[in-house]
Amino acid sequence: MDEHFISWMTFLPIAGMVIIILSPRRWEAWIKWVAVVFAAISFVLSAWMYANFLHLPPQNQRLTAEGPNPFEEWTPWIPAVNITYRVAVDGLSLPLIVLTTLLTLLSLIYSWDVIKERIKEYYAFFLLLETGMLGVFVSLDFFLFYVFWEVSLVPMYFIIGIWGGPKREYAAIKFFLYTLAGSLAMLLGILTLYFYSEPHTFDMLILAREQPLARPELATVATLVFWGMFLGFAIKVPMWPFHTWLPDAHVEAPTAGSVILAGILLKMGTYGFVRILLPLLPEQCEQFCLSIALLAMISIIYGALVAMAQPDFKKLIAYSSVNHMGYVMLGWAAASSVAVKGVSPEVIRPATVALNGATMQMVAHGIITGSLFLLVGVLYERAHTRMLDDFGGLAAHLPSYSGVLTTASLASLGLPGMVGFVSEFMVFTGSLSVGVSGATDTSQDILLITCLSLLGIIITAAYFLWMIQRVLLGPVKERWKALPDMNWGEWISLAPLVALMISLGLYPAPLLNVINNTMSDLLSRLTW
Amino acid sequence: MTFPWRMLATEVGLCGLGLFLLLADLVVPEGRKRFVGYLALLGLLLLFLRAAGAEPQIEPVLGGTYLADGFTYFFRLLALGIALLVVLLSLDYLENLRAHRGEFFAIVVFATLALILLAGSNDLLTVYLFVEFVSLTSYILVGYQKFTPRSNEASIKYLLYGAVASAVMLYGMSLLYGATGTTNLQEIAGAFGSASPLVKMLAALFILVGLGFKVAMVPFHQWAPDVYEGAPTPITAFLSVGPKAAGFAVLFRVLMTALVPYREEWALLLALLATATMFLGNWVALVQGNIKRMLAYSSIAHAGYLLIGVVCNGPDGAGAFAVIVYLIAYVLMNLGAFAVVIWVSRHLGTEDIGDYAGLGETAPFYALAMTIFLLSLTGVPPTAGFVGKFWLFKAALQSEYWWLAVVGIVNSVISLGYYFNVVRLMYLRPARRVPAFPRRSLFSTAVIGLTALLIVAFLINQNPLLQLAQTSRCLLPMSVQIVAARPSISR
Repeated sequence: MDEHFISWMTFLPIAGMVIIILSPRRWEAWIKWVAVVFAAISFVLSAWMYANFLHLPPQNQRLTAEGPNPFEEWTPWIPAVNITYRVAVDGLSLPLIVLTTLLTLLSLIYSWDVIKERIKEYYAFFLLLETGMLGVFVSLDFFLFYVFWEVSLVPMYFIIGIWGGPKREYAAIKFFLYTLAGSLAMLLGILTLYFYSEPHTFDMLILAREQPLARPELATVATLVFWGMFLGFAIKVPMWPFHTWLPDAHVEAPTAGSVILAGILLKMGTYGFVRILLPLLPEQCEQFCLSIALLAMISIIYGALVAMAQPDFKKLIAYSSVNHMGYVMLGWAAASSVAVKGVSPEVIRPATVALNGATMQMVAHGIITGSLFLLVGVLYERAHTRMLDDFGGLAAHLPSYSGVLTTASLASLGLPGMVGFVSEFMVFTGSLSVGVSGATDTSQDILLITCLSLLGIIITAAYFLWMIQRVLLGPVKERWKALPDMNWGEWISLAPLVALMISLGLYPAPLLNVINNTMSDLLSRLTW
Repeated sequence: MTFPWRMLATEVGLCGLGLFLLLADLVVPEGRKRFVGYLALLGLLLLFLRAAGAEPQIEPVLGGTYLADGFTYFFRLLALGIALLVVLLSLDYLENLRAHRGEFFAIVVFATLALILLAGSNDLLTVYLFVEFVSLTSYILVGYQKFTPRSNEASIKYLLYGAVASAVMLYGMSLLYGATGTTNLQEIAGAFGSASPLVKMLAALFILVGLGFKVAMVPFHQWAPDVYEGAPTPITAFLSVGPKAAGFAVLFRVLMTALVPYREEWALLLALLATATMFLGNWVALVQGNIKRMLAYSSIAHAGYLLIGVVCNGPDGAGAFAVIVYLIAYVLMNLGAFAVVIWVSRHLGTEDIGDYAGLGETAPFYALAMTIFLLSLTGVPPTAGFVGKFWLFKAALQSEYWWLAVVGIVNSVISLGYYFNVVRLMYLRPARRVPAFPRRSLFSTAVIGLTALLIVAFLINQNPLLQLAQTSRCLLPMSVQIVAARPSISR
């Protein structure tokens, strides 16, 4: 067990899925229990891994091409083309892994009473989805990575398509088509990287070390590979203008599906930017960082403005994801603007801060938006409407619901003391310092873009406060007087997230240290 | 010259099995014809094991007209595997045939023999002969439901198209013979350079017509949808994989041996035709309402993907390798999909895609299997279809056919539209009708389970199959090298 720790964690949900498929359809309670127990075991394993990882000395927390790496498993898979089964974790993937197992577990608990039809398929698909997501974060071989990337696509199609809202079929296939198009473009990029490496390999870490495309005569190839992979990841993030699948998918998906979609699947895109694009194609990242920063800025402001205009609660949260993922990309772009050899050491520090903030924002957004989608679901289950203007004065009748919703909203708009503040603060301080330093040609523009992006924070605060005002405050409406407050299932699924929001906001060190070790290692390798 | 019994044991054995089945059919009483099918199954299984144990050899046999090399070795196994699955499917379908149930299996065995012989041909004469052999057995099988007008129509259409295509091909062969003075593929390659450009072009074009017809390549594809729709479904399954695979085998033999000096020209032409084939197949498949017609157009599109491998076959044989891997995957997923089609038509009495609605609830096992087959046909992991496409795109990038890989990708996304339409109906829509004819479908269920399992297992451990593909491919370029060493093979 000790040697195959990651494999156990990753594939246990599949074992649960097989058990569920083989169980008779009418054993509903048994099916739910199997799903929750297997998800819980995966969560315990990942948490145990995190606890052990914390105690590793910083130099052992990073990934190296030669190995050995934390919890690494490395065996040949398809020797004919040098494809290996290589999995390991570092400070980038581990927080996302724990987030994945936690959100899956909480989503399954939340679904207990909410999903009433085709229970067997629902829990089977959810466990398959968990394996796909975990696999993406642990894989260090491109072939393996791609397989998991696509595996996570199929169950989400069904979760949206079967248990979703009125426009579910359209939303599901749109989600599938967009992501498939992007990931096939990524596949071409992967294959090209493979052919230019000598000896041919799909190993991300070896490719990052060898830098097969870092020759002047291959600049065009490298650019094509960069944009191919960019497409795959940017659609997933999603960055403006590739975001149009997101509002449909998020709004139509069942609550638990939206939680996973916003909490984890979007992170697969930003994870790709940090794990793959930055170390493998640093020159192109540096070259095109301004375009990406610009897209990030548009995502931030556009996402915030569109969110403000939404009459639908769930759509508001969906667009807020475009806005919040923009911060991640802004931090990433600021950090990659200094990803050149021999850049002055003073600028590496702020760049690390920006990248730390970006990674932290992935986790923070997963926690906060996950709980916001749960809260929308809680309200919709009771009121059967999501229109913001239908509500009003709920605070008087639903004290605990109002308390949790207010907490999550404040965390999302970046109130100090909450996890969202820490990450956004770091993204902006990091990016601003990179901009002010003037260390590279792009600094000026980064500074300008960052300053404009700050507008997003204000708009975000505006739409969240306005939402709270419309839903919770104001005169009590007669028709909502009989609404019951949150039940035990909803409490169990929300309490851990609220606890994390506050505790990581007050004391982010356990998360931040892990991230920082990995990110400073990454940037120092790129700039030396 | 003695007959190379040992090397041709599989071919001779198949011929013997076919004759034996014809005799057995005389003894087996009407109503017990299933027994003939069991005999065919047993015979094919034994031959499969024999073929797996055979030693590939590079030397041509029978006066240089036939090759029992690694390539033939692979296609023997593939053809026998196809035959085994098709016989299994036919056992469930037998009651739909009103007459000549026993001979049916004999003809399937002969058709299998024809596929293998075609794949091993090393001479224009044998190529032509065995193309005709494959076609004749196919015509009979397509028209097997003698009392169904559709089946008759399909058979006649197939015959007319096929006759024209092979006549044109024969004309091309005669030009080639006139220009080079030989019918041996390797000797043609040696003498090809001196021929006039016009003759070269016409010969290559005309031969492509005949072979393009066999693999259902645009613009020689028009027969496919009608024939696929009209033929008995197990035969449709057979036609969609068998002749196509053999067609690609002989395409490789002719293009990579005889026409290798003319490579630049036909590669570009074939790349354009592959593009047209993919786009047309996928585009038209989007609007089909009959599942057999949809799979027919999808099989045209798959011929397009496979052509990528032919175009992008470099000196290391990466394209041939990709085609071989893709063929294995394609056979599994297409036969599996047709097995589900047979099951549905037996239990729901329909071939209409709309009637697949709600299958996820009324028949979860079959719906799940169908989903795996359709995912694989789209090329989404974790399935064999993804592995096949992976190798094809890899070959395309390797020989710097970037645009062809991009075309393949765009088409994969398009194909998602119609494959997932079926999945959408099965899972996202309520059932339109419940199984009306509860019948025992042991054999098609076995085929469905087996192929679905193999498709997923293919991704998890593809090493044995890759090794198989590796041995078959390596011998292909070597057959070209022999020519260089020995300019003429004595007759």
